[in-house]
Amino acid sequence: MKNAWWKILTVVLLLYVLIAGFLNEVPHLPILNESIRNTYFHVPMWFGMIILLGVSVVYAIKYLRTPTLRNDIISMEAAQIGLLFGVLGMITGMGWARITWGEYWSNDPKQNASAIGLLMYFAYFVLRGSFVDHQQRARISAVYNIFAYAALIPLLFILPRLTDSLHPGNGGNPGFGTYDMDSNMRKVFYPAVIGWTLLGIWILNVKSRFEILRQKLYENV
Amino acid sequence: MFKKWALLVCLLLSLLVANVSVAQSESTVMVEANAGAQEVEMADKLRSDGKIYVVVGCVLVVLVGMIIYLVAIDKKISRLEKQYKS
Repeated sequence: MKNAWWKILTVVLLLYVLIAGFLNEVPHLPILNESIRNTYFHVPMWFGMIILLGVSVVYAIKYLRTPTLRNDIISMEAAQIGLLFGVLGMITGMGWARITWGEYWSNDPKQNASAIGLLMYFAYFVLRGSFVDHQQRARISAVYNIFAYAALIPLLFILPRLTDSLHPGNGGNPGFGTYDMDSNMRKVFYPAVIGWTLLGIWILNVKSRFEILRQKLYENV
Repeated sequence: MFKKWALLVCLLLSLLVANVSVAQSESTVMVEANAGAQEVEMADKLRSDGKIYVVVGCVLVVLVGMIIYLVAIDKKISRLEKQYKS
């Protein structure tokens, strides 16, 4: 817990988000009503997922340059936590869609694309599990990781914008300003994104330190 | 190494915050456009009853519990790391 300023920042931001997220003033919009506050919890999950998967792909490339155990473990753990964030984002999104779009799953382009994206990352773990040899597993899954991330970006950010989507900011001219957010909401939304993402990085920190320690112990036994 | 990542995330997202001022002008237009829909039903009753504080308190208990758990694991691993080095 040394040099833990960012861990303290995480706690402070998340406490602020939970308190202000329920109590601050939000725009009164039809259909959305109070559920607009989901913006502080559902959307940061996807931000967190993209950033954690980004960390994963960076460490995959680092592994290919310098094949150390550490790079492989961080790459794998980051993909795992990114996937957790994605699944949480999917579940919270489905709940939100039920009351605003009418159905849990309305085959919205962005819903479908994110489902495909998550499946690609499930396949990453299937691939990892199918090797006995450590080095082979690390190398081939690092290469797959790069392809998966490169495919994920157009799936989530480009293809849904080419067609009509129920998601705000899609279908037509996308942009952050078109979200139904006012400056009051942004005061909570940005801290929420930073806070939830840092929580993911904290979990990644703990998990990969544990895994590195475990591997070192196995080597010495 | 993780500190570097944390710093990077903070920097990246402060860029997003810079977006606020730009997006602000657009969103005021949005809010004005919705000014006619002031009668939209919100959970004002829940708020005036003060029952919303029960919800906030409940969620806070969950978050604080989770964080205490995470801190405990973090410390345990730090201790193991120290033991391993010595």
